[in-house]
Amino acid sequence: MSNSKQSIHKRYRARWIIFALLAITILASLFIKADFPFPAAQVVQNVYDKIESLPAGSAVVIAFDFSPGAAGELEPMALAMVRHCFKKDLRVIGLTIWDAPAVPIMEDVIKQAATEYQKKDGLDYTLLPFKPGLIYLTMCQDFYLAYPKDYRDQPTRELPVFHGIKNLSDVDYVFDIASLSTIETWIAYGKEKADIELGAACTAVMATDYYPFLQSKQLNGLVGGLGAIAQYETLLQKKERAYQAMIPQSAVHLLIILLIVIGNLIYLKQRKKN
Amino acid sequence: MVFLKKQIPLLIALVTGIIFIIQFFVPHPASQNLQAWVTKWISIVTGTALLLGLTSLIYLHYQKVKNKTTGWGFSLVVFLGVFISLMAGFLPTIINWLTPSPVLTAGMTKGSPLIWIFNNSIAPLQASMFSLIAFFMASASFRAFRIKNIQATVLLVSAMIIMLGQIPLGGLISSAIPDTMTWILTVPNIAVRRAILFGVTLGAIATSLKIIFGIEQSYLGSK
Repeated sequence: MSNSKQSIHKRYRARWIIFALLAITILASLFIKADFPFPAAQVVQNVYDKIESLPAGSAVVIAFDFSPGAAGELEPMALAMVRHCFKKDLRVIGLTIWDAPAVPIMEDVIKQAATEYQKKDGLDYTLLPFKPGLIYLTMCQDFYLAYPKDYRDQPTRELPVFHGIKNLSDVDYVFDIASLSTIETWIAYGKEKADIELGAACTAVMATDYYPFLQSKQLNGLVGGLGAIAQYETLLQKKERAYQAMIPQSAVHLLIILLIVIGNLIYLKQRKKN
Repeated sequence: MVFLKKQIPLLIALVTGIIFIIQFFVPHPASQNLQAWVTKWISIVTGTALLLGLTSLIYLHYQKVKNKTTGWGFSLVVFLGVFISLMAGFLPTIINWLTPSPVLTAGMTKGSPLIWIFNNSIAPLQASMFSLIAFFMASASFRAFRIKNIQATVLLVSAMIIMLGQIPLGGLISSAIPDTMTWILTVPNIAVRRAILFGVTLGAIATSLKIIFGIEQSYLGSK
């Protein structure tokens, strides 16, 4: 076997060993049950405090702007946020600016929480259909122009959940759960146009992008990634999917750190040899 | 023809561009109504663009099947997916029209065939694709994260602190780990991100102005 073929073979072998190690680590860690403290970061605490500060009956828009691919990471946040709103007797208006596939996720999440807290469709919450384009601008002007009907084809103007709401400025809090760049558009067209209070949740890889908006107060808080969602669940005292996922995630992070250390030790050894 | 192909689109870009820059800052009802009217049009155009995208996708895969290019079999899977999804969307509605009372759940509501497809194929497939990232990241970090120089060492140490800070174990080892993670995210990260944001935004403004004033014409198909 030539040297180049040997090298390729070696590289493929190393890759498969890493893949197998990762799979074993994830599977093994799924069987571990543990209770651990996980204090919330300030940016997560800010979102929680905002919901806590809202008086009963306040209206919260929750935007489900994430794809099914990111549902594993962001659906627990959606559920935690809807639960928190219902626990505080807030009105929930669910919508999606991203794409139609987010609608069934939104329906599942809101209905699950509504059943738990015995909330009524049209009175305590509503779901709005997917609308493409810059619907934020119309919402800033007139909510009923943007969404004349809810997902069940009922006129939104007649729904008690919309009582006292004419446009986006009348909403007490907007929370965007995003796996794409909708947070920026919510800031540009929602926050800046309608002067709304805006918070967001996103995948861990996206979180670093939004820290400048926290400093500029265009976002009041940020729940970035599964770790931050687990912190939110801890604050809510509903330790569920995100909190339980912390054990496999911790195991994988530790494995990656270990792999980096081993990789560097091999690299240093080779460098010394050469 | 040149007038229709070039001058008219340039004129539309110039007029609408200037109108909507001004409109954004004018809170008068007339200005708001204009914006609402145009937003409706944007929704219609976006919806039509989705239809155009589907047509383009079908044409592209038809060409692949026709010319029997490498992997043409996958194009048949695309056709099958499109056909099944269209049937799942249209059939319940058609059946409900033909019967005196609705017998099937239609559209994107719970219990409809489209939602069944969504829950049993789109959601798990997308989640699987997303999960694969973990495997490639683990492999890449082993092979590429090397302390070759000071910059690479700083990057590696920062990554390790962030990875530890994101999990409960980091705080259990030392409270300094999540604190350092917060510092990295709120000081150096913000500085760099803000610089990138400013750069990108200034670039977007410059490009928009170039399009509005007809300097940038690549969207017309010219080089």
